[in-house]
Amino acid sequence: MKKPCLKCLLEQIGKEDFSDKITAYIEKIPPEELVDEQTYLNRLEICQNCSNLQGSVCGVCGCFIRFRAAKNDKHCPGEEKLW
Amino acid sequence: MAQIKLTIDPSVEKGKINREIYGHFAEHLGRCIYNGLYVGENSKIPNINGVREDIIQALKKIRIPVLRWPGGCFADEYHWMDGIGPKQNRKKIVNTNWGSVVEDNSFGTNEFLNLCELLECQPYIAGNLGSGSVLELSQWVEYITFDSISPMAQLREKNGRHKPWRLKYLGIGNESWGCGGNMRAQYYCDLYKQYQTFCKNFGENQLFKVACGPNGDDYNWTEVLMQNLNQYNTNAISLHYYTVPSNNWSKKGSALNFSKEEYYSTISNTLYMQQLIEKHSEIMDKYDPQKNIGLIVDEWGCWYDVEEGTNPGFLYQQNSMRDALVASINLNIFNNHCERVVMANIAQLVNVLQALILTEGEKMVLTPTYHVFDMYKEHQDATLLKAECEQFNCTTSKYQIPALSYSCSMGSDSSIFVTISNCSLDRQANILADLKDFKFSKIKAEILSAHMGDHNDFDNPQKVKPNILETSPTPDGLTYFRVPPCSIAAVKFIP
Repeated sequence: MKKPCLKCLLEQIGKEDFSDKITAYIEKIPPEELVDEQTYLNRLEICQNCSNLQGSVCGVCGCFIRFRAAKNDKHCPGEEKLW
Repeated sequence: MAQIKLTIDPSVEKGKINREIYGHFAEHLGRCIYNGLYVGENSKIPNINGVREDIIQALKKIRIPVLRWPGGCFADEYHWMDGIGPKQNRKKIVNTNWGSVVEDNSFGTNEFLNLCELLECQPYIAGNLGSGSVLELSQWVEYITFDSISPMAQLREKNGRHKPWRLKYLGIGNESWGCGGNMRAQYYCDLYKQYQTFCKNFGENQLFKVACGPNGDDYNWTEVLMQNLNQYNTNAISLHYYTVPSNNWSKKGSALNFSKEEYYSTISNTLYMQQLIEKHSEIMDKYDPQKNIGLIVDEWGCWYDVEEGTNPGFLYQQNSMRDALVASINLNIFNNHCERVVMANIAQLVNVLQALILTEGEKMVLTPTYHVFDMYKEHQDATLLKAECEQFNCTTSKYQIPALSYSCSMGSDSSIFVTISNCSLDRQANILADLKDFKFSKIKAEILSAHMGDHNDFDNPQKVKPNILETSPTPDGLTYFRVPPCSIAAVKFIP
């Protein structure tokens, strides 16, 4: 099977809106693996002010911050361990 | 259970296994370079000139022979002068298509070549033919290798490097049939010949020029290249082929959550590499029976859907025992075709596609694929020997796949080295190795064995790792060892 053009693949993905997908990912996480609402909001606020943030993605781990911040087994992957 | 005879004939040599077959690829994509291999000089993570020390140690251990850079598709958009000189002055580009990823060019030509020197590996530079110019590429070669007074040598000196580096491998264009310019084969040949004319050998530096070869089974591309190129302007052509479990690029399959059927489809699809190499070699043989032009598989490996919650453009995927089997099968295929296959570069080194190494902040994980490269390193620069092994098939409703993949070589220390993998999920292979008249005093053997989806992660980084493999002599002078289902064995017979 031939490889399609990576650039075209990436550009296509780049045009997609991931907001719905991330919401769907979060909805699939079992409740016992989620942080509480306040922790979630605190984490997101810290991420929003972090120099590693690239759009809606953490540059250190490559995760969408909304997804990573929602999980209780995750921590800030940066050197400073901000949360 | 029946025993399987593996017969090795040390008197029949079948070519040299270039160490470059165990080569790697690092692209400016996702977290391969930035936040992967390269963390910058100011990072708290221990580093040498910005490159993680733990990664350097891991790569030295597997004797990394060659590293391809800066792409991939990125190569045909890369302008090398953006990545030299004081870092604060280098161009910064925010790629808005890609979650606003910043390319600050802090890892450029000097950083790459210094890293290769540190790793004692050959650099393999992919030059920009798609959106660059003949002048730009010729000046890049001059910057790297010119050993006297010239504008580019002076620029290099100004950037802190007096002595030229050595550059052997130079790719001219990447995937020119696709992201590298969407060219016809004939048009590419004409452009390639023009570009390569001005990539000169300065001083003692001898370039090994690599033309962009086919995409998978595009045999016409190979035919046209071989009609138009020759050993005086081309040392090798490349081949790209990825293993996709589903054969469907829009839903490739998960790296970790897969069924037995998907496992076997992955193995079946990866075995296709053998057919590709043989058919392209057949075409090359017509025009080049002396095998002066090599085949370089400079992008290969598994390609899955990205891990949930990660940027799809980063191509980050986990890596399981299934990937280890894929690596072992491909490396055995390359070894067994070493008369034509002179290099291969798995995609990619860190955090992208079938990675050897995964990182997250200060943490680092060596994947099952890494362990295969470590186990197989004895094949580097060894001589391929004739080997024949009895076989059995893995049979499912859809697939009938040979279970055993193997290759055998003799090292410069006159030891014999065998690698053999068993992709069956339910049948053990009881191997009886017959080395004919070869006398040995010692055996060193390792096995990598796990369930198909087992993997290493940041919480459990040692779940899949090689262990000692027990071997035993038989009364009739053979050597017995077991290769359990979903396992890879490496056995060294030392005189």
